Amino acid sequence: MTESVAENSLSREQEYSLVDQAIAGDHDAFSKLVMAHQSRIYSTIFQMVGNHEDANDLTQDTFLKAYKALKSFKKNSGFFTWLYRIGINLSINFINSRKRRRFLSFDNPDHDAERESEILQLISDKSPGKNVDLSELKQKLNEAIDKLSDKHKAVVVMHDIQGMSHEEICEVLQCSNGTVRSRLFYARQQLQALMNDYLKNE
Amino acid sequence: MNKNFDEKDIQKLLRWKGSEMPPQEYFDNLHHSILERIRSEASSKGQVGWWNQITEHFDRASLNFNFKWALPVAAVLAVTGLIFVNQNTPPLEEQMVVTQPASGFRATDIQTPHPVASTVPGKFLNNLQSASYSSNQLVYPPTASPIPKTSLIKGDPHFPFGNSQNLNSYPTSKWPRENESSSQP
Repeated sequence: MTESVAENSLSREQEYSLVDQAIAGDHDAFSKLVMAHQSRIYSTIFQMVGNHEDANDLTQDTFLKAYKALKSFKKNSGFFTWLYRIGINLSINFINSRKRRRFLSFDNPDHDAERESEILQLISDKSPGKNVDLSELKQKLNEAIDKLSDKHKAVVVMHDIQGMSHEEICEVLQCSNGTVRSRLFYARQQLQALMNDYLKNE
Repeated sequence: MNKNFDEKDIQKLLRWKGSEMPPQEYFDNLHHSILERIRSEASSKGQVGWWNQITEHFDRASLNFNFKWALPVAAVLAVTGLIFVNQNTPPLEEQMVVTQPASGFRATDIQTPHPVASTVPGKFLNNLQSASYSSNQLVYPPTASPIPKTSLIKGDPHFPFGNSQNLNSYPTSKWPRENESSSQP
């Protein structure tokens, strides 16, 4: 499996070594693993649950659960994949258990200007002369993602938002490549329909 | 010009959404919060039970008294006390006496059916320990037979005033009188 999405600079051997040290009770070793993966795990959970408070709690829960289950970690896969599986499962359980859903984007997100201009261009192409409100567009996108089922949402978040490969998603979700591809296709179709409604209504 | 979003447009929108992140300061503190939770859970796991918490509380209070020995010492003292009391208590049969109705005593005045008394002063309590109360009646253990041959219970075969259910109908001439013996010739 490629470690394309793993933002950390740790090699797999280094991660295994840190896991062994953490099992032996070395908190600093586990701290290094947390720092290496926290932003990716947080970002994925945030895209799944849709608000910072819940994402913060679930990110902490993910690492806590991972710490308690370190002994059960088999070294035939990447630590990041294993961590991701815990985070995604916790998020899905949380989404299913909560009564009211809130989807709140950051007020001042640290967007890169190049990507924003690309989106502005895209909207103006699709709807010429339209005054584009990016926060409103994002809100519509949040609502559309929230309408997806948990499994479809997980695949979209991991592939299209986080940039994970099909193989990585297969390993996290423990399903076949074909399943991942079909879920991704269906989810994009659904998002396309929902966002086109937005364009037409505007 | 296609006015609809196609698959690539959706992917662009999703990638744009993926750039949403909290400020870097948040991540600077996140791992500290996680380690804090791990440490707090580990420390709470170490506290075995309420007894440890109590002893720790007293230890923290720097009391001279070693509270850990209180329960065992109290248990030993209680057992020793019970053994001592039992060794100095005569058998139950010796303690029980049959209380005869006093002359002039009216059976209708009886409130407790089986009055228990002891010939040894201060041993009354021991009688009660070998019996148990059920409402206002004493129930004796099967080994003891403290039921007197003369009973003061209405309807009992040993009731000295006959088995009439209605004492008011019992001839008053048969009631024992206080001065009955002196009036006899």
